[in-house]
Amino acid sequence: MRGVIERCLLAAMALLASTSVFAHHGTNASYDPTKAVTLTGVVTRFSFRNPHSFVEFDVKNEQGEMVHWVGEMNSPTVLREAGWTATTIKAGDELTMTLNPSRAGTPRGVVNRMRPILVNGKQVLGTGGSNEN
Amino acid sequence: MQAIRAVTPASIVRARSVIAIATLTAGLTAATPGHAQAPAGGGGRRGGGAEARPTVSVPHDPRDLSGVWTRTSPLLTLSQTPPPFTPLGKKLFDAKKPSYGPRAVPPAVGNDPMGNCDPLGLVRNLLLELVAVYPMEIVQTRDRVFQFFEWGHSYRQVWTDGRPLPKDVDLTFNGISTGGWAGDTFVVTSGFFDDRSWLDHFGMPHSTEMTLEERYRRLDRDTLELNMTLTDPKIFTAPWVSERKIMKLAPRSREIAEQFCVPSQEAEFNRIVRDPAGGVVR
Repeated sequence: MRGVIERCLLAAMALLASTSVFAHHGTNASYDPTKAVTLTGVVTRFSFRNPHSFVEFDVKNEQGEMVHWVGEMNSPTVLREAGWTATTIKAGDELTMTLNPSRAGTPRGVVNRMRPILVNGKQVLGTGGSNEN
Repeated sequence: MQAIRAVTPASIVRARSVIAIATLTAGLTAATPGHAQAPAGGGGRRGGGAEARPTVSVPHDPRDLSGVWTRTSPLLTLSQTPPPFTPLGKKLFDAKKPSYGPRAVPPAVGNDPMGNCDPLGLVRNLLLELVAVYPMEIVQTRDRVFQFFEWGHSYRQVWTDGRPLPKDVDLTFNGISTGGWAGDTFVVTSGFFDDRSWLDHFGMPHSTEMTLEERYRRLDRDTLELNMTLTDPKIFTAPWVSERKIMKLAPRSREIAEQFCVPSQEAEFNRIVRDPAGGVVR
């Protein structure tokens, strides 16, 4: 029993250490919490709707090609609690955020709100968020 | 794609321990000074401890369950020890592909009804409200008790006018419920559940023969206790008795928000985000 508890605590600590998100529907199945990619691009759309919000933005890769990324986020109810509104991010904004990328290698990721999020160079919201469903 | 393996209820207990602790830890991590506070002695927006701590009680009516209640239990299912499955229960469990727990697959290749905004069903509503960020409101009227669930913006009603459960009625996701007081415990009996819903995030099945007993008790003004017993002989070889679930009274400022699961929005989300994230092209 003690071993089980110790393993559970270790797992919980590992989750904390990874600054990964947790409990969002299928998060760790779709996205790799051990990887993080910080991207800067121009927002084309911020969908602040139930049951999931997401942000679309265009990012220039190392080859100079434009890649359309989409970051998965929580419901507006959860985001509002952390201070977000429908206009926190707007189309045309320059956005920098960190994603845990898709395990499938597609330009999709879950937004890591534990890391700073910059809109037009200013940190508007960042650390302290959880991604519970 | 992650392999889908058959897992028995007993074998998911260990993983659920991890999930329970990790969820609790995530909740603690999420707590920030800016969150609303409950009245003195009450739980916060994200709940209090897992144990009920009877306090010097502010005067309250123990037979008045009204209020917005938020969760404290980190466990997303009834208890850590489900009863053994029947052969049918095991077959149905194996057919479900959840996106939580040890059997988790990307939602794009799973079959969780939640992923299409299908109704959660009463048991999952109760469990979700108990552990997630979305609270539940109880409203009592002369002949009914209503529970409003924030997630999915749904409700259930418990008839308290003395009527028995009907003999034959159409199946519904939240079932048919009657209730009454046994001392200061509000006892609810429910049946006639549509079996398309899952009991929890982990794909636990149920049949249309499932019955549920809920026992609510207001321990003090700010603390509500819930014990459940689920009986479904087609799925489980014994009744499933829940752990004691504790809810805390939310601040008066916390209202039930319009948290619809919008099917068209979820379909768009699946097309733009969830399916590509899971490597699925439709």
